[in-house]
Amino acid sequence: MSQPFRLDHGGRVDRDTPLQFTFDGRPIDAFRGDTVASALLANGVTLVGRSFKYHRPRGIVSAGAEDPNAFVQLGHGARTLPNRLGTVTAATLGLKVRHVNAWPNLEYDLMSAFGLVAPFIPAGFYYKTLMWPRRFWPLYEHVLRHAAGLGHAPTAADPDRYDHVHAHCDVLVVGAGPAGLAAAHAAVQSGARVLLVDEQSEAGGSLLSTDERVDGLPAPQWAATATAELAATPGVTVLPNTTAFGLYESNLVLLAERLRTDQPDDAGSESGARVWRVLPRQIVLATGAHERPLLFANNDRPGVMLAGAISTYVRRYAVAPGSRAVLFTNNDSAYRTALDLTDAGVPVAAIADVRTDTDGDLPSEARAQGIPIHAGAAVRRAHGRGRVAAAELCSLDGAPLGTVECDLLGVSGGFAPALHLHAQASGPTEWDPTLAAFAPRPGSGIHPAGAVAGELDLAATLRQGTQAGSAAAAAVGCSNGSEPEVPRATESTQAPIQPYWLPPGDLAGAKPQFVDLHEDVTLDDLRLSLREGYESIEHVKRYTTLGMGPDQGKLANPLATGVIAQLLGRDPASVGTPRHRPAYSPVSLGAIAGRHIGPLADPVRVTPMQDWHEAAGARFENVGQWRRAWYYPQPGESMHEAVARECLAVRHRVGILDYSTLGKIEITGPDAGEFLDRVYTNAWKRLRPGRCRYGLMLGEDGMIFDDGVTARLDDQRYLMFTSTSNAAPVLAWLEQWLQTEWPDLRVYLTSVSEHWSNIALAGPRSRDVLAAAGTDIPLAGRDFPFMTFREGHVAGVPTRVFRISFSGELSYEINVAADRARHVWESLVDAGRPLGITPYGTETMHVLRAEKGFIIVGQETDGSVTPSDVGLGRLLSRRKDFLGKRSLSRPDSVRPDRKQLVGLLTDDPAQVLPEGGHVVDDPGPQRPLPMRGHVTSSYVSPVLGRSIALAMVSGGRAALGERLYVATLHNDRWLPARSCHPVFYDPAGARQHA
Amino acid sequence: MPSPIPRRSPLGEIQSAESPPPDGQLVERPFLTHLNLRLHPDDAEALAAVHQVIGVQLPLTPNTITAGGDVTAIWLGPDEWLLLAEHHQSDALVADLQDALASHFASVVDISAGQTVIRLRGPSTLDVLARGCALDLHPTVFPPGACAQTLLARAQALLVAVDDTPTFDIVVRRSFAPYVAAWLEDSGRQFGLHFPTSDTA
Amino acid sequence: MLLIPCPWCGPREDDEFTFGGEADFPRPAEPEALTDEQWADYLFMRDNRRGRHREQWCHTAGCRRWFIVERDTVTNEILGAGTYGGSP
Repeated sequence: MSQPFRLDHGGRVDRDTPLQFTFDGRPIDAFRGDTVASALLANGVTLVGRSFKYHRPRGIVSAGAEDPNAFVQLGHGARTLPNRLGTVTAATLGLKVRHVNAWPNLEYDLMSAFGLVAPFIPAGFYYKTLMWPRRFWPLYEHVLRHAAGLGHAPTAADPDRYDHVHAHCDVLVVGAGPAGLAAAHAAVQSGARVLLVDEQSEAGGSLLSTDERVDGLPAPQWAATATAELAATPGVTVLPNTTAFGLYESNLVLLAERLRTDQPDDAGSESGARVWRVLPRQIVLATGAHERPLLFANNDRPGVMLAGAISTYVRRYAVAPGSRAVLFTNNDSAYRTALDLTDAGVPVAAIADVRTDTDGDLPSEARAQGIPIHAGAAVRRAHGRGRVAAAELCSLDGAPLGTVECDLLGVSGGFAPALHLHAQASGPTEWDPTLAAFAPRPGSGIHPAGAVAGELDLAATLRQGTQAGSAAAAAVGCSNGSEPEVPRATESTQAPIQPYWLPPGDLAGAKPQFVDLHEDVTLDDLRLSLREGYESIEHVKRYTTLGMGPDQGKLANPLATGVIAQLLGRDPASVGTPRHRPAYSPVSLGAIAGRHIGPLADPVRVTPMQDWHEAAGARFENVGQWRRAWYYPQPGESMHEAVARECLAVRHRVGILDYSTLGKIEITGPDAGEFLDRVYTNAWKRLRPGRCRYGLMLGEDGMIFDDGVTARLDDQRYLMFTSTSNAAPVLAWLEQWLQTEWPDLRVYLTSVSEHWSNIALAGPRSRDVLAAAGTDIPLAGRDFPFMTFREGHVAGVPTRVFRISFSGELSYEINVAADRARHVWESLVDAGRPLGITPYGTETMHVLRAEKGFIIVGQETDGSVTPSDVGLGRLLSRRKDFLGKRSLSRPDSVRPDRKQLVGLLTDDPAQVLPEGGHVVDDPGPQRPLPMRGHVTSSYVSPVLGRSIALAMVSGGRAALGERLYVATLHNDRWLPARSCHPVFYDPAGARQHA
Repeated sequence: MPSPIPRRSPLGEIQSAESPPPDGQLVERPFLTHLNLRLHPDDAEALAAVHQVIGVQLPLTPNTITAGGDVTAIWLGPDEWLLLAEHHQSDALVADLQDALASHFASVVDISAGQTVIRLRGPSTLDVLARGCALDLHPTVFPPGACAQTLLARAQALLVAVDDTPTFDIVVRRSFAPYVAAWLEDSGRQFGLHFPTSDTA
Repeated sequence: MLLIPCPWCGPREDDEFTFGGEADFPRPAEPEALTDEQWADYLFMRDNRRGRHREQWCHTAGCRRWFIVERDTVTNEILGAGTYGGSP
């Protein structure tokens, strides 16, 4: 029979739209408006999973995000989603739902057989048992992971698209229950921009499962009308299916909107989830409360449910979660459930109320209906294995009161405000003795209203919501001058709850009593933790794993606070609650990544020649965010062969390099020279216009920060080149000095990195190529010497050509506005073809500069290297101060055993040293081995026909020619080498002056 | 001497005399003149000299623009502006400004090739921008004439509210333009936005 | 996420900014006149106060201005911001 537990009438489900989904392959009939959980209950499915540690059968406990058991796997294949809550997942046509955490299947679970051998794994078991022997850890891990599986991740790439949106509003209302709707309404009346979010598919919250009336309408109807009105108001956004999962500093709120609703296989555009990043000016927190479970033996049996959830299933979903009920409570709300069940035709066999006074309005009504009420009574134990079969009652002094048959056991231990968001951002909370729970205190732009503020009465909640909404609007200056109207409901009075944490006396000895159903943490585990000295709630959490499941202990933590307080004989206020952290409920990784995946994971910066490089078959390397041509293999060529060919082409003929990525800063103003004098180690004021100079920039600690060439464009203008990766940091550093220390200097800095592309021609024939491409610049050596620049045209385009060299060859670096750079590049390549011009990439550039012993900042240097360490002491001016100068005379900066730049030549010329390899004197038996330094750069030098390396070696310069050994990367071999002067090729520098 | 060699925009447009004005909800506005201007805001004479050349007052209120003739002046910092000009030769405008400011502490730098403008207009403009921009661009907060340098997705960008269509100009650096363009198309896909398919390629 | 009040551009999210360390550590006028200890003090020693803390920030992705923020290092509350000259 289909849906045997579906009630004949009532509920918010759309009986005209039946649909079917599957649970573990079994077809489940449902209606539109059902959740997976309500449909399973309607079909009499009570077993939805096995518990985490003991693999005990578990059922649906709640009707919301607090459920510790209802985690299921949704969908299949690449689109499967693990660990989704059936209690908040809409039932949709064709949805595939599977249980998690049972092996080999739900009904026959092998792991629960362990329970027969070792009934319970005590808290701390993992720490105590599985620590030793260490080599068994992989085995332990394998077994534990199998046992503790929480669903499985998809194995194929996720085809869904995830969206991210920033949003702003005056008032964000979290929760569209009575308080939230009233607050949103009031804020909108005041003219505020409002964003209203609710995690359920339908707004209304508790209004959807009550028979009370608001403004004369049935509560669900009022909720629907109010929501529709809000959604139609300009400036208001209403988001259902949206969970506010994190509240951060500056009141930043993150929302996860579930997009995949009706069609599980819909390949629409934004189909996965949307994360909203909201910066509201004020927040109304209307997140409601979670009902607390109660302790008794076997309180985890399927069929044990929160009383409020039972009402929700009956009223909202028209589902009877059982056929005969017992209720166990310490407050009045369970009586409403009893009346709801009776209304629905489900007999209530007994109500056990720990209070002796049960004469309030609701208990009296229940009594009038003939429901047996046991005052001063408790449930001692649930009977039944796969499902509750009976409840064993007793008086609070332990006297048996008989066993009552039932398949549904509703519990209510009172309500704990869902203050998670508030507490995540360290919002103040306080113990509210009338609730026996922590409640938020308003503050820093946050207005709690309704159950989260401890208000359980509908009329008062509507009033409080209205007040919160207008207060929030007023706080941002919105007001229409009149008091907003409060939606009306009937006031009711409820008798106070009586906190009930531990079953008294020997009742407490009945086992097992679960505090945290998801993590299988029992009362005994808490006792053990306290006995072993872990008394702080944070220690108890870590020792027992209390509250560490994907349900975040929403039900367990409020209960544990009271239980621990009672066990320790302390005030619950002083016990506190474990730190609340985002996310409130699980958010998929895809949603967090949003569209920052694949090609949009990070900006890929390209030069105007990118298409050309691609067409030429270049391989690329990432340099920061830049994509740079690495080398250009010809068909069949290895990287090594390509680089060798490129290197020799530059040394013997001519090569062309795209060096557009260099940072370029124009420095303008009457004090530009003085400014350069202060930031560079050498002197600049007397550099003549038209000339270039190499400069070193130090931090105040005296360590090399950046290097590069700067040219004097005219009397008051310089152009500084920075290394590619330091372009932004250097500009920020220079601005910091100008703005904060030297505001008197008349200097302006402008980044021109992107305006100027830079094309390097290098090699003995580069002058010929430049001439052949057509230029009005005289190229003869005496007209255009080394370390000067000229302005003129190349291939018909205005350029600035610098005679500077990073390869040691005759070289021209041609700056051309980026929008015509491609033309100049192609013209040079065409003109150079008869001369054998060869495009070369960054790898060849590195080899060529290493042959010349030129450093790369960040490769030879690492923030602990002074100019003298790399042999550039000649660039340190004695006549002026400069940043970092004073540090160079600190005792540490002049130690003779500082690491210094040397060359290394291996005994075997074919041996290439590993970059990063440790350098030692003698790899003998001494341990630990004293390290002399490390290899910073290492290549095959095609022009020298052997390997070369640069290294930073302690006291290395004074001992050139010494025998050293370099460790291979796995430290399994030692490679012999001798140190040498770090310039391997053309030490006199004749070639670049040609 | 103007070069006869056609210019290429960061998004692949090639300049030609008969280039039609860009049309569509998502287009590049290539080949504008972009000048970076620095001068001290207390230097009234310099301000007046610039006004003389470009025809508009430089905006002194942070995050605002002034527009007139075919020059738009955009506030970048207390002593820094971006001048966007449509029909000028950048060399001539630079020379005019440098002449006018010769006796002042000021800097005029041509950065036209270093950045480009992407124009986004139509009803989904704010929705698309909200996917990568953390600022509140609601017209009550960010009306036409407002501008902001900020992050768009993971790139720095200068946003200018042009009119209440709404139309936004997004100024991005050249090397980031392909990333920003791809990001805009990806975010705009759910609203049916894309760049005009290029027939110059 | 910290909302940082740029004195020029208004409040912006922290990823638009670069942190520049504690403020009010001016560079000594004559570094060569200092002892090694005094120089090391300038280089390395900061107060790192608990509570009110003056620090430098640069609006890197915005107006590129360096400015001073006063922040409570316990609560992260920002108490004020000031420029290095000029006012919007």
